[in-house]
Amino acid sequence: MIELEKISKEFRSGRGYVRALTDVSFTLERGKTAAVVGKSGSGKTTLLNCIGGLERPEKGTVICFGADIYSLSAKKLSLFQRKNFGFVFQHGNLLSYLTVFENIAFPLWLNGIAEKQAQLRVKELLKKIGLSNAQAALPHELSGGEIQRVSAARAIAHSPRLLLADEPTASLDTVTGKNLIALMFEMGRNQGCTMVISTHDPEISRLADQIIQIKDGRVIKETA
Amino acid sequence: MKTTPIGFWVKTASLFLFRSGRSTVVLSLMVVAAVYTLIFLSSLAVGVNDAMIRNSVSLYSGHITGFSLSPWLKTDNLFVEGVVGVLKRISIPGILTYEGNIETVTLIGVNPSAELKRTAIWKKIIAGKYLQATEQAILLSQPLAERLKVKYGDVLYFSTGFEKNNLQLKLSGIYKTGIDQLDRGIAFCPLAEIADMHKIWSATIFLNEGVEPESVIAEYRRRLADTYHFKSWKELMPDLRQLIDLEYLSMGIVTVLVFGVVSLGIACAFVIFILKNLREYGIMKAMGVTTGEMTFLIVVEVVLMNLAAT
Ligand SMILES: Nc1ncnc2c1ncn2[C@@H]1O[C@H](COP(=O)(O)OP(=O)(O)OP(=O)(O)O)[C@@H](O)[C@H]1O
Ligand SMILES: [Mg+2]
Repeated sequence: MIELEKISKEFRSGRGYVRALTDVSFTLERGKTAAVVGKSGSGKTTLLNCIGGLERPEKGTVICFGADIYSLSAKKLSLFQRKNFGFVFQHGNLLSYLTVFENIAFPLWLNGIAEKQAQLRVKELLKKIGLSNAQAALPHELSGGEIQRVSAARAIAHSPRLLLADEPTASLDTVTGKNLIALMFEMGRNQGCTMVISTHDPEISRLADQIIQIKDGRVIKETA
Repeated sequence: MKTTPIGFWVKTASLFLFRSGRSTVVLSLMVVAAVYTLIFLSSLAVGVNDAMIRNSVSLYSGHITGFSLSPWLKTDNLFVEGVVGVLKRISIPGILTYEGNIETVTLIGVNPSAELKRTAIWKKIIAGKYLQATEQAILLSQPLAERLKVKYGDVLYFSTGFEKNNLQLKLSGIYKTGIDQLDRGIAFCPLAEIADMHKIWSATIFLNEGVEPESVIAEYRRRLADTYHFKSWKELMPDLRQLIDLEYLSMGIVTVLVFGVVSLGIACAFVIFILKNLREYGIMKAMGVTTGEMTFLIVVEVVLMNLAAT
Protein backbone atom coordinates (compact mmCIF):
# COMPACT_ATOMS: atom_id res chain seq x y z
CA MET A 1 0.00 0.00 0.00
CA ILE A 2 1.12 3.52 -0.82
CA GLU A 3 0.08 6.25 1.56
CA LEU A 4 0.70 9.94 0.97
CA GLU A 5 -0.07 12.19 3.87
CA LYS A 6 -0.29 15.93 3.13
CA ILE A 7 2.90 16.28 1.18
CA SER A 8 4.05 19.69 0.02
CA LYS A 9 6.96 20.50 -2.21
CA GLU A 10 8.41 23.90 -3.00
CA PHE A 11 11.10 24.86 -5.49
CA ARG A 12 13.27 27.90 -5.33
CA SER A 13 13.94 29.01 -8.87
CA GLY A 14 14.45 32.05 -11.10
CA ARG A 15 10.76 32.81 -10.65
CA GLY A 16 11.10 32.82 -6.87
CA TYR A 17 9.32 30.15 -4.84
CA VAL A 18 7.21 27.76 -6.83
CA ARG A 19 4.77 25.56 -4.98
CA ALA A 20 4.81 22.40 -7.02
CA LEU A 21 2.69 20.36 -4.59
CA THR A 22 0.35 21.46 -1.82
CA ASP A 23 -1.07 19.07 0.77
CA VAL A 24 -1.35 16.10 -1.53
CA SER A 25 -2.83 13.02 0.14
CA PHE A 26 -4.06 9.74 -1.25
CA THR A 27 -3.75 6.04 -0.71
CA LEU A 28 -3.33 3.33 -3.26
CA GLU A 29 -4.05 -0.28 -2.47
CA ARG A 30 -1.47 -2.88 -3.14
CA GLY A 31 -1.61 -4.25 -6.70
CA LYS A 32 -3.80 -1.40 -7.92
CA THR A 33 -3.06 1.16 -10.60
CA ALA A 34 -3.35 4.91 -10.24
CA ALA A 35 -3.27 7.44 -13.06
CA VAL A 36 -2.10 10.94 -12.23
CA VAL A 37 -3.58 13.41 -14.68
CA GLY A 38 -3.19 17.14 -15.02
CA LYS A 39 -1.96 19.87 -17.29
CA SER A 40 1.65 20.57 -17.99
CA GLY A 41 3.25 22.13 -14.96
CA SER A 42 0.57 20.87 -12.61
CA GLY A 43 3.08 18.85 -10.59
CA LYS A 44 2.82 15.30 -11.94
CA THR A 45 6.54 14.69 -12.24
CA THR A 46 7.16 16.19 -8.84
CA LEU A 47 4.51 13.95 -7.30
CA LEU A 48 5.98 10.79 -8.82
CA ASN A 49 9.48 11.80 -7.76
CA CYS A 50 8.24 12.35 -4.22
CA ILE A 51 6.63 8.91 -4.14
CA GLY A 52 9.75 7.28 -5.58
CA GLY A 53 12.15 8.81 -3.09
CA LEU A 54 13.82 11.10 -5.61
CA GLU A 55 12.56 14.39 -4.25
CA ARG A 56 12.09 14.97 -0.56
CA PRO A 57 8.91 16.93 0.22
CA GLU A 58 9.20 19.69 2.81
CA LYS A 59 6.09 18.52 4.56
CA GLY A 60 4.11 15.30 4.87
CA THR A 61 5.02 11.65 4.78
CA VAL A 62 5.27 9.04 2.09
CA ILE A 63 4.72 5.50 3.30
CA CYS A 64 5.45 2.73 0.84
CA PHE A 65 4.61 -0.80 1.94
CA GLY A 66 4.86 0.22 5.54
CA ALA A 67 8.12 2.14 5.26
CA ASP A 68 8.24 5.88 5.85
CA ILE A 69 10.78 6.31 3.07
CA TYR A 70 12.04 9.79 3.96
CA SER A 71 12.85 8.74 7.48
CA LEU A 72 15.34 6.24 6.10
CA SER A 73 19.03 7.10 5.83
CA ALA A 74 20.28 7.95 2.32
CA LYS A 75 21.88 4.55 1.96
CA LYS A 76 18.88 2.65 3.29
CA LEU A 77 16.63 4.63 0.95
CA SER A 78 18.81 3.70 -2.04
CA LEU A 79 18.73 0.05 -1.08
CA PHE A 80 14.95 0.27 -0.60
CA GLN A 81 14.55 1.87 -4.03
CA ARG A 82 16.62 -0.68 -5.89
CA LYS A 83 14.61 -3.52 -4.47
CA ASN A 84 11.09 -2.12 -4.47
CA PHE A 85 10.84 0.55 -7.16
CA GLY A 86 10.92 0.60 -10.93
CA PHE A 87 11.01 3.87 -12.86
CA VAL A 88 10.02 4.78 -16.39
CA PHE A 89 10.71 8.41 -17.20
CA GLN A 90 9.32 10.67 -19.84
CA HIS A 91 12.57 10.49 -21.80
CA GLY A 92 16.26 9.87 -21.35
CA ASN A 93 15.73 6.63 -19.59
CA LEU A 94 18.53 4.28 -20.52
CA LEU A 95 22.17 4.20 -19.55
CA SER A 96 23.87 5.26 -22.78
CA TYR A 97 26.95 3.11 -22.38
CA LEU A 98 25.13 -0.12 -21.70
CA THR A 99 23.48 -2.31 -24.32
CA VAL A 100 19.78 -3.11 -24.31
CA PHE A 101 20.58 -6.38 -22.60
CA GLU A 102 22.80 -4.75 -19.97
CA ASN A 103 20.26 -2.00 -19.32
CA ILE A 104 17.54 -4.52 -18.55
CA ALA A 105 19.95 -6.65 -16.53
CA PHE A 106 21.24 -3.71 -14.50
CA PRO A 107 18.57 -3.77 -11.75
CA LEU A 108 18.99 -7.55 -11.56
CA TRP A 109 22.75 -7.26 -11.14
CA LEU A 110 22.21 -4.45 -8.67
CA ASN A 111 19.98 -6.72 -6.63
CA GLY A 112 22.58 -9.46 -6.68
CA ILE A 113 20.54 -11.93 -8.69
CA ALA A 114 22.57 -14.88 -9.97
CA GLU A 115 23.91 -14.43 -13.49
CA LYS A 116 22.11 -17.43 -14.99
CA GLN A 117 18.79 -16.41 -13.55
CA ALA A 118 19.34 -12.81 -14.65
CA GLN A 119 20.07 -13.93 -18.22
CA LEU A 120 16.91 -15.99 -18.37
CA ARG A 121 14.86 -13.11 -17.02
CA VAL A 122 16.31 -10.59 -19.52
CA LYS A 123 15.75 -13.03 -22.42
CA GLU A 124 12.14 -13.49 -21.35
CA LEU A 125 11.56 -9.73 -21.15
CA LEU A 126 13.27 -9.10 -24.48
CA LYS A 127 10.91 -11.57 -26.07
CA LYS A 128 7.93 -9.89 -24.46
CA ILE A 129 8.88 -6.45 -25.74
CA GLY A 130 9.77 -7.91 -29.13
CA LEU A 131 13.40 -6.80 -29.13
CA SER A 132 15.25 -10.11 -28.85
CA ASN A 133 17.26 -9.26 -31.94
CA ALA A 134 18.35 -5.88 -30.54
CA GLN A 135 19.85 -7.08 -27.28
CA ALA A 136 23.38 -6.00 -28.24
CA ALA A 137 22.30 -2.56 -29.48
CA LEU A 138 23.23 0.62 -27.66
CA PRO A 139 20.43 3.08 -26.77
CA HIS A 140 21.40 5.58 -29.46
CA GLU A 141 20.71 2.92 -32.07
CA LEU A 142 17.08 2.58 -30.97
CA SER A 143 13.90 4.45 -31.87
CA GLY A 144 11.94 6.37 -29.23
CA GLY A 145 9.33 3.63 -28.96
CA GLU A 146 11.97 0.95 -28.62
CA ILE A 147 13.73 2.94 -25.91
CA GLN A 148 10.50 3.21 -23.92
CA ARG A 149 9.83 -0.50 -24.30
CA VAL A 150 13.32 -1.29 -23.01
CA SER A 151 12.74 1.18 -20.16
CA ALA A 152 9.51 -0.55 -19.23
CA ALA A 153 11.24 -3.93 -19.28
CA ARG A 154 14.05 -2.58 -17.14
CA ALA A 155 11.64 -0.98 -14.68
CA ILE A 156 9.87 -4.28 -14.20
CA ALA A 157 12.84 -6.67 -14.48
CA HIS A 158 13.55 -7.10 -10.79
CA SER A 159 9.81 -7.52 -10.02
CA PRO A 160 9.50 -4.31 -8.00
CA ARG A 161 6.51 -3.80 -5.77
CA LEU A 162 5.91 -0.31 -7.17
CA LEU A 163 6.18 0.80 -10.78
CA LEU A 164 6.35 4.55 -11.35
CA ALA A 165 5.90 5.77 -14.92
CA ASP A 166 6.07 9.48 -15.66
CA GLU A 167 4.31 10.16 -18.96
CA PRO A 168 5.92 7.12 -20.53
CA THR A 169 4.12 7.70 -23.83
CA ALA A 170 4.66 11.45 -24.13
CA SER A 171 7.30 11.17 -26.81
CA LEU A 172 5.54 8.44 -28.79
CA ASP A 173 2.80 8.42 -31.42
CA THR A 174 -0.66 7.23 -30.36
CA VAL A 175 -0.42 3.66 -31.59
CA THR A 176 3.05 3.05 -30.22
CA GLY A 177 2.01 4.70 -26.97
CA LYS A 178 -1.05 2.52 -26.65
CA ASN A 179 0.98 -0.62 -27.27
CA LEU A 180 3.50 0.41 -24.66
CA ILE A 181 0.79 1.07 -22.09
CA ALA A 182 -0.86 -2.25 -22.85
CA LEU A 183 2.51 -3.93 -22.40
CA MET A 184 3.16 -2.17 -19.11
CA PHE A 185 -0.24 -2.97 -17.71
CA GLU A 186 0.14 -6.57 -18.74
CA MET A 187 3.61 -6.96 -17.27
CA GLY A 188 2.74 -5.02 -14.14
CA ARG A 189 -0.53 -6.71 -13.40
CA ASN A 190 0.91 -10.14 -14.05
CA GLN A 191 3.35 -9.55 -11.25
CA GLY A 192 0.90 -7.92 -8.88
CA CYS A 193 2.76 -4.68 -9.21
CA THR A 194 1.33 -1.49 -7.75
CA MET A 195 1.53 1.18 -10.43
CA VAL A 196 1.43 4.97 -10.60
CA ILE A 197 1.36 6.41 -14.10
CA SER A 198 1.16 10.07 -14.97
CA THR A 199 -0.39 11.02 -18.27
CA HIS A 200 -2.33 13.57 -20.31
CA ASP A 201 -4.18 10.85 -22.16
CA PRO A 202 -7.77 10.07 -20.98
CA GLU A 203 -7.62 6.74 -22.80
CA ILE A 204 -4.77 5.66 -20.62
CA SER A 205 -6.27 6.92 -17.40
CA ARG A 206 -9.39 4.97 -18.16
CA LEU A 207 -7.42 1.75 -17.76
CA ALA A 208 -6.43 2.66 -14.22
CA ASP A 209 -8.21 1.61 -11.04
CA GLN A 210 -7.97 5.08 -9.63
CA ILE A 211 -7.56 8.53 -11.19
CA ILE A 212 -5.91 11.36 -9.34
CA GLN A 213 -6.43 14.67 -11.01
CA ILE A 214 -4.17 17.51 -9.97
CA LYS A 215 -4.11 21.17 -10.76
CA ASP A 216 -1.50 23.66 -9.59
CA GLY A 217 -0.13 21.07 -7.22
CA ARG A 218 -3.39 20.20 -5.51
CA VAL A 219 -5.54 17.12 -5.87
CA ILE A 220 -8.81 18.40 -7.29
CA LYS A 221 -10.50 15.12 -7.91
CA GLU A 222 -9.94 11.53 -6.96
CA THR A 223 -12.03 8.84 -8.61
CA ALA A 224 -11.88 5.20 -7.86
CA MET B 1 19.93 -5.68 2.54
CA LYS B 2 23.29 -5.92 0.89
CA THR B 3 25.39 -3.86 -1.46
CA THR B 4 26.65 -5.04 -4.80
CA PRO B 5 30.11 -6.61 -5.21
CA ILE B 6 33.09 -4.52 -6.24
CA GLY B 7 33.64 -6.58 -9.39
CA PHE B 8 30.28 -5.46 -10.74
CA TRP B 9 31.25 -1.77 -10.40
CA VAL B 10 34.65 -2.31 -11.95
CA LYS B 11 32.95 -4.02 -14.88
CA THR B 12 30.39 -1.23 -15.19
CA ALA B 13 33.12 1.41 -15.02
CA SER B 14 35.12 -0.26 -17.78
CA LEU B 15 32.01 -0.58 -19.95
CA PHE B 16 31.31 3.11 -19.44
CA LEU B 17 34.86 4.03 -20.38
CA PHE B 18 35.13 1.63 -23.26
CA ARG B 19 31.85 2.67 -24.80
CA SER B 20 32.34 6.39 -24.34
CA GLY B 21 35.41 5.84 -26.55
CA ARG B 22 36.57 9.16 -27.84
CA SER B 23 36.45 11.23 -24.69
CA THR B 24 38.21 8.46 -22.78
CA VAL B 25 40.97 8.36 -25.38
CA VAL B 26 41.34 12.14 -25.38
CA LEU B 27 41.55 12.24 -21.60
CA SER B 28 44.03 9.39 -21.51
CA LEU B 29 46.18 11.11 -24.12
CA MET B 30 46.09 14.28 -22.07
CA VAL B 31 47.36 12.42 -19.05
CA VAL B 32 50.07 10.76 -21.14
CA ALA B 33 51.15 14.07 -22.67
CA ALA B 34 51.28 15.70 -19.26
CA VAL B 35 53.33 12.92 -17.72
CA TYR B 36 55.78 12.93 -20.62
CA THR B 37 56.14 16.71 -20.52
CA LEU B 38 57.07 16.48 -16.88
CA ILE B 39 59.51 13.63 -17.42
CA PHE B 40 61.05 15.50 -20.34
CA LEU B 41 61.39 18.70 -18.34
CA SER B 42 63.02 17.07 -15.38
CA SER B 43 65.38 14.99 -17.51
CA LEU B 44 66.24 18.16 -19.41
CA ALA B 45 67.15 19.88 -16.17
CA VAL B 46 69.25 16.95 -15.03
CA GLY B 47 70.81 16.59 -18.48
CA VAL B 48 71.76 20.26 -18.76
CA ASN B 49 73.37 20.23 -15.35
CA ASP B 50 75.20 17.00 -15.99
CA ALA B 51 76.58 18.43 -19.22
CA MET B 52 77.63 21.59 -17.44
CA ILE B 53 79.45 19.63 -14.74
CA ARG B 54 81.04 17.31 -17.27
CA ASN B 55 82.32 20.16 -19.43
CA SER B 56 83.73 22.19 -16.58
CA VAL B 57 85.26 19.26 -14.81
CA SER B 58 86.77 17.62 -17.85
CA LEU B 59 88.40 20.78 -19.12
CA TYR B 60 91.07 20.67 -16.48
CA SER B 61 90.15 20.37 -12.87
CA GLY B 62 88.66 16.87 -12.49
CA HIS B 63 86.03 15.93 -9.92
CA ILE B 64 88.40 15.82 -6.99
CA THR B 65 91.75 17.44 -6.33
CA GLY B 66 94.20 15.98 -3.83
CA PHE B 67 96.66 18.54 -2.45
CA SER B 68 100.20 18.20 -1.04
CA LEU B 69 100.57 14.50 -1.67
CA SER B 70 103.79 12.87 -0.62
CA PRO B 71 106.13 11.30 -3.21
CA TRP B 72 105.57 7.89 -1.62
CA LEU B 73 101.92 7.95 -2.53
CA LYS B 74 101.43 6.57 -6.02
CA THR B 75 98.60 7.36 -8.43
CA ASP B 76 97.59 3.71 -8.20
CA ASN B 77 96.78 4.20 -4.51
CA LEU B 78 94.05 6.62 -5.48
CA PHE B 79 92.15 4.24 -7.72
CA VAL B 80 89.18 3.30 -5.58
CA GLU B 81 85.69 2.32 -6.60
CA GLY B 82 84.21 4.90 -8.98
CA VAL B 83 87.53 6.46 -10.04
CA VAL B 84 88.34 6.33 -13.75
CA GLY B 85 91.48 8.43 -13.91
CA VAL B 86 94.15 9.97 -11.72
CA LEU B 87 96.49 12.64 -13.11
CA LYS B 88 99.70 13.52 -11.35
CA ARG B 89 100.59 17.22 -11.38
CA ILE B 90 103.40 19.15 -9.71
CA SER B 91 103.21 22.90 -9.41
CA ILE B 92 106.10 25.25 -8.77
CA PRO B 93 105.81 29.01 -8.52
CA GLY B 94 108.55 30.93 -10.31
CA ILE B 95 109.48 33.47 -12.92
CA LEU B 96 109.38 33.18 -16.68
CA THR B 97 111.69 35.36 -18.73
CA TYR B 98 111.98 36.03 -22.40
CA GLU B 99 114.26 38.73 -23.79
CA GLY B 100 113.96 40.91 -20.73
CA ASN B 101 110.23 40.39 -20.24
CA ILE B 102 109.44 38.88 -16.88
CA GLU B 103 106.24 37.29 -15.60
CA THR B 104 105.52 35.43 -12.39
CA VAL B 105 103.90 32.13 -13.03
CA THR B 106 102.97 28.81 -11.52
CA LEU B 107 104.52 26.17 -13.70
CA ILE B 108 102.61 22.93 -13.65
CA GLY B 109 104.29 19.69 -14.60
CA VAL B 110 101.88 17.31 -16.25
CA ASN B 111 101.95 13.90 -17.87
CA PRO B 112 101.07 14.87 -21.47
CA SER B 113 99.64 11.58 -22.69
CA ALA B 114 97.50 11.13 -19.55
CA GLU B 115 96.32 14.75 -19.75
CA LEU B 116 95.37 14.29 -23.39
CA LYS B 117 93.22 11.34 -22.44
CA ARG B 118 91.28 13.02 -19.63
CA THR B 119 91.35 16.79 -20.00
CA ALA B 120 90.40 19.12 -22.83
CA ILE B 121 92.96 21.90 -22.62
CA TRP B 122 94.40 20.65 -25.92
CA LYS B 123 91.15 21.59 -27.58
CA LYS B 124 91.75 25.16 -26.53
CA ILE B 125 95.11 25.52 -28.27
CA ILE B 126 95.10 28.45 -30.65
CA ALA B 127 98.72 28.28 -31.84
CA GLY B 128 101.24 25.45 -31.96
CA LYS B 129 100.49 22.08 -30.37
CA TYR B 130 100.14 20.34 -27.02
CA LEU B 131 103.15 19.13 -25.01
CA GLN B 132 104.97 15.91 -25.68
CA ALA B 133 106.56 13.90 -22.90
CA THR B 134 110.03 13.90 -24.42
CA GLU B 135 110.25 17.59 -25.28
CA GLN B 136 111.63 20.34 -23.06
CA ALA B 137 108.65 22.45 -23.89
CA ILE B 138 106.15 24.83 -22.34
CA LEU B 139 102.48 25.54 -22.97
CA LEU B 140 101.39 29.12 -22.27
CA SER B 141 98.08 30.84 -22.04
CA GLN B 142 97.46 33.53 -24.60
CA PRO B 143 97.50 36.51 -22.20
CA LEU B 144 100.77 35.32 -20.73
CA ALA B 145 102.31 34.77 -24.15
CA GLU B 146 101.22 38.24 -25.18
CA ARG B 147 102.79 39.92 -22.18
CA LEU B 148 106.03 37.99 -22.66
CA LYS B 149 105.88 38.71 -26.38
CA VAL B 150 106.74 35.14 -27.29
CA LYS B 151 105.61 33.14 -30.27
CA TYR B 152 105.62 29.50 -31.21
CA GLY B 153 109.13 28.08 -31.24
CA ASP B 154 110.77 30.72 -28.99
CA VAL B 155 112.78 29.55 -25.98
CA LEU B 156 111.93 30.82 -22.48
CA TYR B 157 113.62 30.49 -19.13
CA PHE B 158 111.96 29.44 -15.92
CA SER B 159 113.49 29.97 -12.53
CA THR B 160 112.22 29.45 -9.02
CA GLY B 161 114.41 32.22 -7.72
CA PHE B 162 116.38 29.96 -5.37
CA GLU B 163 118.33 27.93 -7.85
CA LYS B 164 120.94 29.34 -10.14
CA ASN B 165 120.36 27.06 -13.09
CA ASN B 166 117.40 28.07 -15.18
CA LEU B 167 115.09 25.66 -16.88
CA GLN B 168 115.16 26.16 -20.60
CA LEU B 169 111.82 25.56 -22.29
CA LYS B 170 110.69 25.89 -25.89
CA LEU B 171 107.21 27.28 -26.50
CA SER B 172 105.23 24.44 -28.00
CA GLY B 173 101.78 25.98 -27.95
CA ILE B 174 99.47 28.74 -26.80
CA TYR B 175 95.99 28.09 -25.40
CA LYS B 176 93.01 30.16 -24.44
CA THR B 177 90.15 28.81 -22.32
CA GLY B 178 88.27 31.99 -21.51
CA ILE B 179 88.34 30.99 -17.83
CA ASP B 180 90.26 33.41 -15.67
CA GLN B 181 91.89 30.94 -13.32
CA LEU B 182 93.28 28.97 -16.24
CA ASP B 183 94.29 31.87 -18.46
CA ARG B 184 96.18 33.87 -15.86
CA GLY B 185 99.40 33.01 -14.20
CA ILE B 186 99.85 29.35 -15.06
CA ALA B 187 101.88 27.46 -17.62
CA PHE B 188 102.40 23.79 -18.35
CA CYS B 189 105.44 21.63 -19.04
CA PRO B 190 106.09 17.89 -19.07
CA LEU B 191 106.35 16.40 -15.61
CA ALA B 192 109.83 15.04 -16.25
CA GLU B 193 111.28 18.58 -16.49
CA ILE B 194 110.46 19.57 -12.95
CA ALA B 195 110.11 16.22 -11.18
CA ASP B 196 113.52 16.71 -9.58
CA MET B 197 112.83 20.22 -8.34
CA HIS B 198 109.77 19.48 -6.28
CA LYS B 199 108.50 16.16 -4.97
CA ILE B 200 105.18 17.10 -3.44
CA TRP B 201 102.43 16.51 -6.00
CA SER B 202 98.75 17.00 -6.45
CA ALA B 203 96.28 14.58 -7.94
CA THR B 204 93.46 15.38 -10.30
CA ILE B 205 90.89 12.64 -10.04
CA PHE B 206 88.15 11.78 -12.51
CA LEU B 207 85.09 9.80 -11.54
CA ASN B 208 82.57 7.65 -13.28
CA GLU B 209 79.30 9.33 -14.23
CA GLY B 210 76.96 9.56 -11.30
CA VAL B 211 79.57 8.89 -8.60
CA GLU B 212 79.39 11.39 -5.78
CA PRO B 213 82.81 12.94 -5.10
CA GLU B 214 82.04 13.11 -1.39
CA SER B 215 81.80 9.34 -1.14
CA VAL B 216 85.17 8.90 -2.86
CA ILE B 217 86.75 11.50 -0.59
CA ALA B 218 85.34 9.66 2.40
CA GLU B 219 86.92 6.48 1.09
CA TYR B 220 90.31 8.24 0.82
CA ARG B 221 89.99 9.45 4.38
CA ARG B 222 89.47 5.89 5.47
CA ARG B 223 92.40 4.53 3.50
CA LEU B 224 95.05 7.25 3.57
CA ALA B 225 96.71 9.40 6.16
CA ASP B 226 94.49 12.31 7.09
CA THR B 227 97.26 14.82 6.42
CA TYR B 228 96.14 14.81 2.82
CA HIS B 229 93.52 17.24 1.66
CA PHE B 230 90.98 16.28 -0.95
CA LYS B 231 88.46 18.71 -2.27
CA SER B 232 85.60 18.17 -4.66
CA TRP B 233 84.75 20.39 -7.59
CA LYS B 234 81.89 21.73 -5.55
CA GLU B 235 84.33 23.31 -3.11
CA LEU B 236 86.86 24.33 -5.71
CA MET B 237 84.37 25.80 -8.16
CA PRO B 238 81.72 27.46 -6.01
CA ASP B 239 80.60 29.56 -8.99
CA LEU B 240 79.72 26.47 -10.97
CA ARG B 241 78.02 25.01 -7.99
CA GLN B 242 75.94 28.10 -7.51
CA LEU B 243 75.06 28.15 -11.18
CA ILE B 244 73.89 24.56 -11.01
CA ASP B 245 71.89 25.17 -7.87
CA LEU B 246 70.28 28.13 -9.58
CA GLU B 247 69.59 26.04 -12.62
CA TYR B 248 67.95 23.36 -10.49
CA LEU B 249 65.92 25.98 -8.69
CA SER B 250 64.65 27.62 -11.87
CA MET B 251 63.93 24.27 -13.45
CA GLY B 252 62.15 23.28 -10.27
CA ILE B 253 59.99 26.38 -10.43
CA VAL B 254 59.19 25.76 -14.08
CA THR B 255 58.37 22.15 -13.34
CA VAL B 256 56.09 23.08 -10.46
CA LEU B 257 54.33 25.65 -12.65
CA VAL B 258 53.91 23.21 -15.50
CA PHE B 259 52.79 20.55 -13.07
CA GLY B 260 50.24 22.93 -11.58
CA VAL B 261 48.83 23.96 -14.93
CA VAL B 262 48.80 20.42 -16.20
CA SER B 263 47.12 18.94 -13.17
CA LEU B 264 44.58 21.74 -13.18
CA GLY B 265 43.86 20.90 -16.81
CA ILE B 266 43.50 17.23 -16.04
CA ALA B 267 41.29 17.94 -13.07
CA CYS B 268 39.06 20.11 -15.28
CA ALA B 269 38.94 17.38 -17.89
CA PHE B 270 37.84 14.89 -15.25
CA VAL B 271 35.20 17.25 -13.96
CA ILE B 272 33.88 17.72 -17.49
CA PHE B 273 33.95 13.98 -17.99
CA ILE B 274 31.92 13.47 -14.83
CA LEU B 275 29.50 16.31 -15.60
CA LYS B 276 28.98 14.92 -19.07
CA ASN B 277 27.84 11.69 -17.49
CA LEU B 278 25.70 13.36 -14.85
CA ARG B 279 22.55 12.10 -16.56
CA GLU B 280 23.82 8.54 -16.26
CA TYR B 281 24.49 8.98 -12.57
CA GLY B 282 20.99 10.41 -12.17
CA ILE B 283 19.41 7.38 -13.79
CA MET B 284 21.47 5.08 -11.61
CA LYS B 285 20.50 7.07 -8.53
CA ALA B 286 16.83 6.53 -9.40
CA MET B 287 17.52 2.81 -9.67
CA GLY B 288 18.79 2.85 -6.12
CA VAL B 289 22.54 3.08 -6.49
CA THR B 290 23.96 4.44 -3.23
CA THR B 291 26.19 7.50 -3.06
CA GLY B 292 29.05 5.29 -1.91
CA GLU B 293 28.70 2.99 -4.88
CA MET B 294 28.49 5.95 -7.22
CA THR B 295 31.64 7.45 -5.76
CA PHE B 296 33.38 4.13 -6.09
CA LEU B 297 32.24 3.87 -9.71
CA ILE B 298 33.63 7.32 -10.54
CA VAL B 299 36.90 6.63 -8.73
CA VAL B 300 37.28 3.35 -10.62
CA GLU B 301 36.62 5.17 -13.89
CA VAL B 302 39.27 7.76 -13.16
CA VAL B 303 41.77 5.14 -12.01
CA LEU B 304 41.14 2.94 -15.03
CA MET B 305 41.57 5.91 -17.30
CA ASN B 306 44.91 6.70 -15.73
CA LEU B 307 45.94 3.07 -16.01
CA ALA B 308 44.97 3.10 -19.67
CA ALA B 309 47.09 6.21 -20.10
CA THR B 310 50.22 4.66 -18.61
N1 LIG C 1 13.85 21.42 -10.21
C1 LIG C 1 12.94 22.40 -10.26
N2 LIG C 1 13.29 23.66 -9.95
C2 LIG C 1 12.38 24.65 -9.96
N3 LIG C 1 11.11 24.49 -10.28
C3 LIG C 1 10.67 23.27 -10.60
C4 LIG C 1 11.58 22.15 -10.63
N4 LIG C 1 10.91 21.05 -11.00
C5 LIG C 1 9.63 21.47 -11.20
N5 LIG C 1 9.50 22.78 -10.98
C6 LIG C 1 8.24 23.54 -11.05
O1 LIG C 1 7.25 22.85 -10.37
C7 LIG C 1 6.03 22.88 -11.07
C8 LIG C 1 5.56 21.47 -11.36
O2 LIG C 1 6.44 20.85 -12.26
P1 LIG C 1 6.31 19.36 -12.77
O3 LIG C 1 7.50 19.04 -13.56
O4 LIG C 1 6.02 18.51 -11.61
O5 LIG C 1 5.03 19.46 -13.71
P2 LIG C 1 4.41 18.33 -14.66
O6 LIG C 1 3.01 18.20 -14.27
O7 LIG C 1 5.26 17.12 -14.60
O8 LIG C 1 4.53 19.00 -16.07
P3 LIG C 1 4.75 18.26 -17.51
O9 LIG C 1 3.42 17.67 -17.85
O10 LIG C 1 5.07 19.40 -18.39
O11 LIG C 1 5.81 17.29 -17.33
C9 LIG C 1 6.29 23.69 -12.34
O12 LIG C 1 5.83 24.99 -12.16
C10 LIG C 1 7.77 23.68 -12.47
O13 LIG C 1 8.20 24.86 -13.07
MG1 LIG D 1 6.44 16.01 -16.05
